[in-house]
Amino acid sequence: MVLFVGKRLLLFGFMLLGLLTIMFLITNVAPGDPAKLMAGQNATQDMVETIRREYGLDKSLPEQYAVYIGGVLRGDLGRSIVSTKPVVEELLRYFPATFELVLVAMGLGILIGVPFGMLSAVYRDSWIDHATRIFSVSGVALPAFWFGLLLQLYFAVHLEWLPVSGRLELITPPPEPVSRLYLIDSLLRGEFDTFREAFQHIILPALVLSFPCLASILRVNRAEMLEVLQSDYIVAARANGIPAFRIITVYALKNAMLPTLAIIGLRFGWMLGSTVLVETVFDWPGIGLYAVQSALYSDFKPVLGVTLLIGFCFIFINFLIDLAYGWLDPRLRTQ
Amino acid sequence: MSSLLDIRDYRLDFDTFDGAYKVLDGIDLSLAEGETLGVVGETGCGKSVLAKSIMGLLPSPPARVLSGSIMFEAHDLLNATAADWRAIRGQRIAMIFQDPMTFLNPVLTIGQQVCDVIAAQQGSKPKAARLDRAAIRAHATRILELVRLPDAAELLNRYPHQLSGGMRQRVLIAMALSGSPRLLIADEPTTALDVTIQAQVLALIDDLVQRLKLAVIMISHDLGAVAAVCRRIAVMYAGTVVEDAPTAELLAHPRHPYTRGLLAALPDIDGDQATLVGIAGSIPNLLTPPQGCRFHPRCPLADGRCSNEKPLLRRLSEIHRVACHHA
Repeated sequence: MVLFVGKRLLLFGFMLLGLLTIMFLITNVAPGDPAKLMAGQNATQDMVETIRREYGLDKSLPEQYAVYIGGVLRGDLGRSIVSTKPVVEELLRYFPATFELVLVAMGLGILIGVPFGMLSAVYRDSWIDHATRIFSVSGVALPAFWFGLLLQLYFAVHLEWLPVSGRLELITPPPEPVSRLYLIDSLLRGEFDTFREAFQHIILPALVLSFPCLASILRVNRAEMLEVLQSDYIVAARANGIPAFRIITVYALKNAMLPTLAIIGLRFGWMLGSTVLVETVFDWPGIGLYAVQSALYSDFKPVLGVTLLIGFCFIFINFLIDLAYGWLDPRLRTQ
Repeated sequence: MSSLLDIRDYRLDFDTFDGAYKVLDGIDLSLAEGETLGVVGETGCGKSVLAKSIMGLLPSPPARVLSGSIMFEAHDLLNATAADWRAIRGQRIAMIFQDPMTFLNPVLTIGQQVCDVIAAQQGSKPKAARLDRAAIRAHATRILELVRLPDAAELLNRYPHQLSGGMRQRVLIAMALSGSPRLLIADEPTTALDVTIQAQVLALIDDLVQRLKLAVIMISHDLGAVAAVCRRIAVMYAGTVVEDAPTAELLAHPRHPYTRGLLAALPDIDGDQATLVGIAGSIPNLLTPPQGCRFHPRCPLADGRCSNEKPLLRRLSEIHRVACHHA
């Protein structure tokens, strides 16, 4: 087990280094001179050069790379050219919002996708199977920004049940940061009104974000359940008189969850990287918006920081999924 | 002897896109309390389908019952409800399977699986007689010891992939016997095992049958394996029972040409024959089975009557039945 984790961690480091290198190169071949952009239109050549020196942009590419990697190892991701603030500080502000959104969306995806996948496999070709099929096809097909707007129009504008956008009402102070996730922090501080408000704000964007992921979890789980339900050990369990409910929820589901888990891991990373549309529609102060705005200003340090963070989360989540595999399937535990 | 299981004129089709496969064509079989019956035949003759019919395990569709009845004790198995099956499966009729590698759930421990089977049996008992968790575990250990598995208590914590094929088959036998059934259906219980392990498992089944006074239906294509355990043998061909007699009688005086062919095909360990003898032709396509006797295209005795008129399973003597116009 220690060996397994150790190997994984080593691999983890190499993957992040590779990711950083590729991103560093890509951002440097992208057009646009950040020093010029920052200095503004009326700046003199001297001012541009000063800024270039100050941010180390006059050094050669390998030198810049070495300086940047050295900084990353010390936990310093550089400064944003636009806001002049350290990238780490800004990530700490924007990332929890996105992370909270993705967590809730993934929770919805699993809580709805797995049981309905199971149901549509057990009642194959019944109305429930057809209904979930239509539901999941539209989940993949609907563009997030359009679906988001529809939900806003109906639930926020028409019915006025839920707020249109944001994480909290403007006048509500966010809870004291512990995890920086409002849902958790407000509960920890006992601020239940804030919790309810945060929940109302997150439900629509989370739903929009979770929809495609929910659809794929549902379909994969259905396909796996169908296959597992045909297998010999299910026949044997039935012959031995084990109740149908237990056969489906334990004997079959535990086997069917293995490929479903892989999808969950991949989708998690995918969601982290694709929140920008949802964040734009719902004015959610997250990392996607931050990354896109920085990229538009040729402000590369934040882009690199965001990439690193998402890459880290992606690899970490998949590491957790590997551990979960071991828990689900004893054959993977022993070599 | 009163009969425990009574199958009459049981016909079953499998509906597919190509049409209806006439899988079972009028099965007549009965089994007395404590009797051991072997059902032998080639692959595809319907023996496993018959076993699954008795356990109510055939998915429908594609399976479709055309006629007949299967009576077990007082239960009409073809019309049993889910509640009936809860009381029957595992407690009145139990089943063991062909391939112990695939019939145990790979992600649950032996203990979880054995205890689940025992726990499922508690539901149909009166409240006072139900076992609690500790008692269920103790019972699980006891039945694993019954099938002569060493370190039974420790075994409960292991997973199927950590056990050998023979051990897994013993676990499956233990699970089947945990509810003290009256009838055990063994569907090719030794086919997937090594020859030496086969002998051990057969000896174990034989011993358990004697001790627990179980009725057994053992399904196999291996006449030798069946003869080791069963007192009576029914030979099946293409969905029909063609001959039914006590083991010794059947081996000594086979009356159906198919049975004779099967026996002739057994290699003789002392003989000096150079080639193996087979039965000419191959099993018929059950989508369009032959008219009359289903064996007639391969039968050396076949004449005009055989291709028109289906031979009924008739009694030659008190103990010997055969379905052949020429027997």
